[in-house]
Amino acid sequence: MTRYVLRRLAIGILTLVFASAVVFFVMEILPGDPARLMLGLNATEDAISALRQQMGLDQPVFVRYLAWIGGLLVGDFGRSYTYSVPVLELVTERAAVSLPLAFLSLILLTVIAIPVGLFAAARRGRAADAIVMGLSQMGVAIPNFWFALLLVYFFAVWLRWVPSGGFPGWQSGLWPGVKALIMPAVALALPQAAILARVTRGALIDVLGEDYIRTARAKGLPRNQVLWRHALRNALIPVLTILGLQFAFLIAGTIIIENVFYLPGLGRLIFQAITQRDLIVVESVVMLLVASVILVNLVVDLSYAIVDPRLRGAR
Amino acid sequence: MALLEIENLGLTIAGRPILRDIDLTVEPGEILGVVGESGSGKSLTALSVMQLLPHLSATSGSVRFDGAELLGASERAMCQLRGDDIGMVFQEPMTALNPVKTIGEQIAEGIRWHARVRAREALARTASIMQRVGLPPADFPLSRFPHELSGGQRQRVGIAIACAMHPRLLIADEPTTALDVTIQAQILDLLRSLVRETGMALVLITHDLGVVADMADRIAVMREGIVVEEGSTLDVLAHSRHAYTQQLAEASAHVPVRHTPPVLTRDAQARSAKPLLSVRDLVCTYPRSHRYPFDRPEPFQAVRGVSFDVYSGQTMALVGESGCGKSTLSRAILGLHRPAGGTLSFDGVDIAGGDHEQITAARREMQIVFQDPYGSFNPRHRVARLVAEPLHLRPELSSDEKRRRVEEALDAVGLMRADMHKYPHEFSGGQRQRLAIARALVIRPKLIIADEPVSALDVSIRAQILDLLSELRDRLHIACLFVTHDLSVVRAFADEVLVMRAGRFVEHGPVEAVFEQPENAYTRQLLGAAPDLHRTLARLGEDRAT
Amino acid sequence: MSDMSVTSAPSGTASFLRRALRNRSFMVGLVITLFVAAIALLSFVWTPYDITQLPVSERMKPPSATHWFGTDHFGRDILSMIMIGARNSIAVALVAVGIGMGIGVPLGTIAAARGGWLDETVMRFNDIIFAFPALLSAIMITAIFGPGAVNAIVAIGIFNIPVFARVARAGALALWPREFVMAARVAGKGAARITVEHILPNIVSLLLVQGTIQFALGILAEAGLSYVGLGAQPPMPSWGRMLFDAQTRMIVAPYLALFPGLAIVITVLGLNLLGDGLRDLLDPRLNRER
Repeated sequence: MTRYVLRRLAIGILTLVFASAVVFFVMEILPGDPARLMLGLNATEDAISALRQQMGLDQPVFVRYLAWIGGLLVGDFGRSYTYSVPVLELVTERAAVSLPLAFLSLILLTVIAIPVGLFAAARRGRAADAIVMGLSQMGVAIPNFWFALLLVYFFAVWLRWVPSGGFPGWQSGLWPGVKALIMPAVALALPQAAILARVTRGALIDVLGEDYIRTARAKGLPRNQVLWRHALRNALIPVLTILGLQFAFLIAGTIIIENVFYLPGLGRLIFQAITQRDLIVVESVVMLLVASVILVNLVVDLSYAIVDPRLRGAR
Repeated sequence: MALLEIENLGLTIAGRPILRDIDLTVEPGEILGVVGESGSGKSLTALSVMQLLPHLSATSGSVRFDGAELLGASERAMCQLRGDDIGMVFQEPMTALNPVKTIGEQIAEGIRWHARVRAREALARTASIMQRVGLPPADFPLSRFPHELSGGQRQRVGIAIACAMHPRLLIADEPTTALDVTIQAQILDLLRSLVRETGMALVLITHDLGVVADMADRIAVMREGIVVEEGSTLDVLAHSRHAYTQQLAEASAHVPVRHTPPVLTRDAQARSAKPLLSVRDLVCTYPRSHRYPFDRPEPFQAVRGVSFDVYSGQTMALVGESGCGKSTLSRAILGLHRPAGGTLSFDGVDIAGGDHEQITAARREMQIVFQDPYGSFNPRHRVARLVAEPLHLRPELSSDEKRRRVEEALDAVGLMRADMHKYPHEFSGGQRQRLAIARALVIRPKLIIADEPVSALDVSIRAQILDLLSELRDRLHIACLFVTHDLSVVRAFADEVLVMRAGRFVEHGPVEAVFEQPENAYTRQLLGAAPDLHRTLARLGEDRAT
Repeated sequence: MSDMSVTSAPSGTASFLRRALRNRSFMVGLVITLFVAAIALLSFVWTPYDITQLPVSERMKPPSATHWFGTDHFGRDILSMIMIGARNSIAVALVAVGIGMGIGVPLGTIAAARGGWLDETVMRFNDIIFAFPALLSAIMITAIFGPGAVNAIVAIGIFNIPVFARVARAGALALWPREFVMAARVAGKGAARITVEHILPNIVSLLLVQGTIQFALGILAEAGLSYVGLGAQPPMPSWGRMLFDAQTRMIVAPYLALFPGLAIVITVLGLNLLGDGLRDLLDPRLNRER
């Protein structure tokens, strides 16, 4: 158990280090002179050299990388060139919208997909299964931002139940904040839930063909008991794998969906930063998102050990 | 009234007839052996009783347990019966237990479900049944997971699950087929004593006549979905009226005729002949996974310094139970596994050293026949290409010459030249094993390493393949290293035998000597555990006479 | 993945066709996919209207007999734009699958053949790329080089690499211990030759199925990227960009959002059905009764 956990932790940290090197390379080495790129063609040489100094571009690459990493670790993300505030301030304010949105959709995704997958597997081959699978086939094909547009049109424009977007801010209370995130979260979660429901059903059906299911049936357990007590936990292993991958899609999805609902999250920030060529902000946000994807995958890897006792003794 | 009465049972799956007119009865306390080759329908007969048949199955006739009809019984009623009055043990102990639940949970589950007792009571009963099946909870805590147990121990857990509620009928479907002979003997003993103690009835399904002869009171022989013969064990096996049963009995004790005298090491040494294959102090290791970073664990020694010779034309059997290192040894000889120490020479050439050209040259003289006739061919290639594969080692041959060689090899194993254009899935298991032999022969080797070549085959096919191998050995004077766990095959086929245990040889000698007067205790144990049809029949005959 | 799913017995072309004709999701998927591809090809030679013309008089017309899917705020015919947009979607997704297969499959098969540190390196490399969803790569590339259709191809293509590497590696690893591979080793064949002769032909079906899945995902990803302005740039029509333009005008002209969205759904649905059907056809397990 400890060995597996340590190994996974080490791999997670290694991945994080390499991923940060990739981000650093793309954002600071590839452009040649980031200061020139950020200031555009009409910048004066003085402004460029001032920014170069502020960004520490006169130092060797390796020192810059270490300084950047060291800064990230203590929460110093640098200063936004366009906003003239510490990037950390910008990012925390925006992350307070995006990360809750991502986690809310992750929760929705799980609580929708796994019961639906179980239901379909339990009624395999019958009409209910066919209907659920047909719907999920559609769900997989729907782009989340288009689904979001349809939701906005239906609930905000047509029924006028909810505002079509915007975010009141957490200072106006928990519930108004969550309420503003529900529709975006549904739009994000449903297409992914369609995928996960199919995976869950497939994994359960695979497991139901295993010998130990026959053993459990020979013990006298009825079908649904076998499904709950024996099949579900074994089927969780592939389900967890897909769930980890889906978190990356949810993170990317939040960035897109924020545009549909005019949410002041990291997505809006990053697109503004791209138009304004504020590389430091882009770099910081990308790093933050990459780190959260790696972190969630680490959690998934560690939860394998809880689900599967065979991993506890092994590597 | 019999405990189980099967009358006129028929079964179709997706409209395809599987079973017809099955009539069987089992009395309390009786052991009924159901014997048949693969595809005979013996397992599906058992699953019909349990009503655990695959999707799209349709049954007809009648199956009565204690007078109550099971065909068409409600799922609820069947759930009450299964695991309570009728228990079942399956073939594959490796996959028959849920890998993510402890053995205690898996045994206790049935008890709690049927007896509706509290958790503590269920645990106490679990502990007692584990004690009974030979897994005392002191040594095997209930919190163990299946992957922490050996195959034999897992099968004991399987028996504990099936017998937890003291069923009146136990159905065991090939319960020992996946186990080594010594473990098989222990499991069969356990089943026999459970029957004697509790008076339950046992339906023992197996392909092995030796096992049923030893265990069963009565035998039913099945073939292609019907019961061809049924009666007391001695009557059926010794005085069979039915041709198929006779054929089965003969095939399972088949000894191929040897036209050339056996090649014995001591004779060869006396002639001061050079050995074809010479193995000296061979050590093969596998790295162990490390427990913490920078840990350098001692590698696992699968083969621990073995030495032997194989002479031209000699058939050497390498016998041992699973995990003894016999497969690793044969792989090292073939160059598939680099040995950690010792020497390997073939025709006087060192082939362990790693000189590429020398190894290639040696491989031209050495080929392999694998166990699994289904896995040993690329399903996407035609026979002509499959059989010609080893000719890769002879790039100088023209394509006409290669084709001629393939035709010759197909002739030699009794396949048609027209088969060249077929794919492997168009052949039966026995034919595929012939193809595998043809592939080995195509390069005209001096040595064939046969890795369990008949273990996956039914007895009648096995007899044919042994005849073929024997004929080829006589005609082409090919030496053979015959790797197997099956002693009866060794006796029928080999000149000499090497008994391997835990990476070392414990006994080496001519077959007769080893079988008649084994020197090593382990060899004696192996021989004693192996079911022997004739020995058992002789004993049964004496019992009846007295 | 069990190794049964890796290999399937080849059967005659005729019997494969017969089974294919009977497989509903395969046939429906194939018809939809061919239809979309045909539309994209047709758009090179003919569209109902010329979309480089911006007739002010035709602005924001709802669907009618003359403009089946209506017109946008420049007066361009939506149907014509969808037809041309199909080209863009298919090209981006196809090239991205090509990049993923072209790099991922060699990586995966070599990792499986060599094992050891090389395998470990490839797997860790996969982990790193998996941390960068296509959108994040596209954001970084766009921030440096500015927006463009090529960015979308590169970003989606990079993300496809580890997907194909994993599938190829898993399939190859299941095959290496098989006896027919060992027989080839006994016949003196090297790892490269065995990979070409025995491994690749037996994982082709896995790769084909994964290819259709990644194709579908690529179309979705491309739509998302052009929706946020990281993909194809105006005036090149793309389905995602059309949805972005539709968003602000949705109250007055919901049809603007309807048709490009449906185009995406139908294309992706077709590819997914095709993939499911292919998997059924190529997986021998499903031919047997379970």
